[in-house]
Amino acid sequence: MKKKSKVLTLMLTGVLVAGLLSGCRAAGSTKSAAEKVFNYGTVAYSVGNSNVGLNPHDAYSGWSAVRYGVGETLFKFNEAMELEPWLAKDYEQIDDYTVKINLRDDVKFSNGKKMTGEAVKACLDDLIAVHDRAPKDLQIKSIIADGQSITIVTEIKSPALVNYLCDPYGAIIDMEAGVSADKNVVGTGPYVAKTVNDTEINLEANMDYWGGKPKVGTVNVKSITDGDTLTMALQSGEIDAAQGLPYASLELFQNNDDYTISSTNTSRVYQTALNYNSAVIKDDAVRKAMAMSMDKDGFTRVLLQGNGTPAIGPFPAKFTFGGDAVKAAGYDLEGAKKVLEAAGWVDTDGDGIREKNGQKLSIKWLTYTSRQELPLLAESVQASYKQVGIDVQVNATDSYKDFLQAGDYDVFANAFVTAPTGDPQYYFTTHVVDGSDYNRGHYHNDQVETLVSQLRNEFDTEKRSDLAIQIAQQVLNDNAYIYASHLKMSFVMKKGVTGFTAHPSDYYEITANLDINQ
Amino acid sequence: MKKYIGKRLFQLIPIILGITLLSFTLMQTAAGDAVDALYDNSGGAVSETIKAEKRQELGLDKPFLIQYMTWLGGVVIGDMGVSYISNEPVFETFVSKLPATIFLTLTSILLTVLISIPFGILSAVRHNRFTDYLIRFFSFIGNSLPGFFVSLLLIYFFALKLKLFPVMGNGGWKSIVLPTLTLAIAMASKYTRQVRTTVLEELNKDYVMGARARGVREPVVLYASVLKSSMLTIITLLALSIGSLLGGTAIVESIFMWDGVGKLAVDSIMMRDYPMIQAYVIWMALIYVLVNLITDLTYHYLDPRIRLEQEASPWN
Amino acid sequence: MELTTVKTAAIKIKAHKKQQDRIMIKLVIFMALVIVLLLIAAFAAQLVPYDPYAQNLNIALQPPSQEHPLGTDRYGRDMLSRVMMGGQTTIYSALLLVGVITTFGTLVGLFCGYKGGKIDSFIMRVSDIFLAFPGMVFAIAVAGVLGGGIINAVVALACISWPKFARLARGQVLVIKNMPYISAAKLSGSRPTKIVFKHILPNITGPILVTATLDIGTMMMELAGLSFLGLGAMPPIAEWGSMMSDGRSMLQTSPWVILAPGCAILIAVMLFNLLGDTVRDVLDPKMKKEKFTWRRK
Repeated sequence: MKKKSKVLTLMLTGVLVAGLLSGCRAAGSTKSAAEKVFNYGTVAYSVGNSNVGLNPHDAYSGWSAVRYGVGETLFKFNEAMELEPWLAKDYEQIDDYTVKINLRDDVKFSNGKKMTGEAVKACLDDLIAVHDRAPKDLQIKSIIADGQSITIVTEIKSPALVNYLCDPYGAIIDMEAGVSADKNVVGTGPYVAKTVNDTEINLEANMDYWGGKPKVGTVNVKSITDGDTLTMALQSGEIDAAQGLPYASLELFQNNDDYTISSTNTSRVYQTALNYNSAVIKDDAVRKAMAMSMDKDGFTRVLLQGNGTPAIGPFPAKFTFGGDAVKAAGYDLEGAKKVLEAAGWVDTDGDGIREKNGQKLSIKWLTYTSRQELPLLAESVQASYKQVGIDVQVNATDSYKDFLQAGDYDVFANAFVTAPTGDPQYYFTTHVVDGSDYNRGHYHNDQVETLVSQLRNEFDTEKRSDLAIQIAQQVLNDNAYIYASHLKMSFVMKKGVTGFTAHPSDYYEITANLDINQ
Repeated sequence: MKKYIGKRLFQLIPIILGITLLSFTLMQTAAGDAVDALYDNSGGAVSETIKAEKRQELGLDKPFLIQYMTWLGGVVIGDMGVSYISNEPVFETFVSKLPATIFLTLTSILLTVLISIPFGILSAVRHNRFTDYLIRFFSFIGNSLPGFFVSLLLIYFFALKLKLFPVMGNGGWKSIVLPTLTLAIAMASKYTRQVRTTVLEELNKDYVMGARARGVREPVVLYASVLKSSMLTIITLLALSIGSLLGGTAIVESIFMWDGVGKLAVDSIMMRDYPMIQAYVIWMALIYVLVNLITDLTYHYLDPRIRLEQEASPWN
Repeated sequence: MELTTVKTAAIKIKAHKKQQDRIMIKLVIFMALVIVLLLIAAFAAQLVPYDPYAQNLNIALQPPSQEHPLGTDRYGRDMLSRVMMGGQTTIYSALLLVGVITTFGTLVGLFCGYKGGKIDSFIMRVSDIFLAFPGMVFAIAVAGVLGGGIINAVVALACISWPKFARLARGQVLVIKNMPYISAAKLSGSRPTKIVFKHILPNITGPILVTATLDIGTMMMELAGLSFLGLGAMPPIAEWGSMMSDGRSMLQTSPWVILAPGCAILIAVMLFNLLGDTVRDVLDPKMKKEKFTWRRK
């Protein structure tokens, strides 16, 4: 027995020494670009996110194409979410229905072919023919290609057309090369995918990239959907950077000299839609009290561990129409109690829950768990609402769609990217107007209807911004939605990784700037 | 023997029909309207007429039993429909991920054997002495910790603190160590105790007493007689655990990012991808039934006496 | 020669007696510990130092201290109170589950074993179908239909666990059925129900009781597994499995959040297993045939 343990000790020591030696060797040399390998673990790439593969014309796979440096769009957003040219040079709004886009002359696909107006037209034609969301967003009637420019005519007035083209589905790919069986495409970006599958993408640098030579030769994107595994893989050095770490683990990398963190505020908001079809919710006082009893600050500071900003309206402060451009009721439990009392909601039977006309003030809170923050919000609200006498029944289920369809909820809490195109129209047309896709609260306000239809036809950016503020304010005045917090997104990387920064749009991750210095 | 095999195979038919019917019914109830789900996940709003057409195309307007038969016919030829989420054929996806799970299962069984048999025998031989207590103590602990907790502890110590093995799967031979260990710890804890019980029982039998009385040396008694006769039981136990392991890998696979059917199942549950869950349920059940059958047959072949005893046993 | 045999026999009996005594002592100890555990769980609501559901974000994730011996979780709730309250949910769910499957399974087994014939083989085929599903897999499917929640998790596990008891009881009945005293009872004209409940049932409770006790621990772990998949207890209910899966990302930063319920599960499962083992030793030291009791996950 003793002998055995000695042998075991020796073996372990041997393995450790070998490990150390090989570690030293790697650290001692400087690598050329071709030798550099970047292993990137992310929770965002998975079948569940409908973004596996790199074909921008399929579901959300365009996000993967753009994020991992394979595809690029005609225009892009800068850090302030303003439009910038990317594959395009500029554009002219010829009339309310016509836009002419001039393309760069020096862009080549990764197979060496030149990106021409014809190529872009072929790509966009395929996009609106096969994609599920793009035709509705873009409303394209026809595209005419002429040398290095294209002219797009739309069915309806489309002030946000160029913004929509920044959506990753607008990534330009070579349609002649088409889409391979493993969902690979030929794009214009700094990286070319060698292998693509549901759990991993192996990329190689595109040495002829129009925007300069990439500095890292190989990039492996790995789907790691379990937050703890992701954390430990980064700690053990199996990956060089991670996206989507659980908040609890971020602490391990903060104030740690071995890692750097890049964070940014996004327009992803945790919001709750209050269901006007519910008898209790219809009561203005109830909605008001609910808005006043949500501890947005505590939720953001403690439960999100500071990885967010308490929200007022749907848009974050980065936008002219976001942040404190609108006003909402502050956190005030005593005030909420008074509001309820004044409206006749009192606790008559002493169980801590208020009643009115024999109706208990109990609300069904529908949400889902695939976003780790939502159950936290539900549980935190449950406690604060109880203090003002509102009972909350949480239903956190991933089959929430069944409940939505059945109308079996008083409140629906979800996460939503409110301004993916840097423009406010998208959020309002999907959330607050009659019969819109995500109007889960069945909210209706005549004033809002008028303002949104004005917004649809307004081309002036400043006026659009004003309209957006007016609409958001009206929604807040009605307490139709309560906005809890805007998410802060973080990339954590080993020290020495540069050129890898979190972008507020959540579109751009791997670029030609990525580098590893040892 | 042939007759027995025939009989067992015949008995299998109603079981398989039952399994498929039960899981079909369950999934039908769970999934609600398959067409709604299909279009819901693909994003766009679709008119009721298109939905109705699709229903007709998929045969969803037919009575339940007809639907079941059609579906069963598909299953037989390997057509289990299309995933709601990825729009890929379910059967192909499932089959492509099956080898990883089988590989993990086999290594876990192997490790379980390597741990539980020596320790079980040791524990039995040293009955009620320190070694026995120690082994039993550890087997109790191993038996009382949820798998996901064990995984986390193993990753923490072996991958982070000692840096011996990688955290994730599919990176060479080293990456299988931790998932295997996680599965084997729970299994080995259970089987060590069972091996111990079996060997103890054998040791108390008259023939062992007799051999000892005749002066046969203890190691010979142990290896020649006791082990031989206990082996049958032990092998059966292990064979049966293949089935249970196949089902039990789900959580471990998803923690270690092991790209097998278990992880596929967990992911599908999270996304309510019913055709995929259905494939998993049915295939796991079928494999389980088959393994049990093979075990029974082997058992039967090795020891025909079992036939009689089996009638009274909880499994026949 | 004769004498030595008698002597060894005497020594054997003595040793046996001594062993019996030790087993009884063990039984008393484990029984007492289990009762303590059950009492704590039963009166958790009265015993807890703090309201296990009261949040205070200002004292979130505090390490163990005098005020909070097991620390606080991320909502600032007292861990000790939650572990105690969680014991109530976890242990009593497992007990309920085991109680239901034992009763139901045994009744089915008694009926089938005694009656025999077509109805017997039909019910056994049905139980084959349930047994054919790997436990967790079926539980997942059922939980998928019914939705999450601790009661649904219990229902799901019950569906796949009853056949084990039905088979166990049936097997025992088949052995006992042909014993002379049963034939005698039959001849004396006793009604079948009387024979089953008066003569057969008391003789098969031993193995069933042992299996049931050992199952309590297993069921607690399976419930925890379902909670891990989000198919078990719903927030904010305190339950050990969901508390563990909830706190697992804090293993490195705030380990008490996961270790407290983890140790609680470990202790409870171990206690029930130890008790089960001891009960088995007491009831029949020879009845160690575990040959056909396998557990499935």
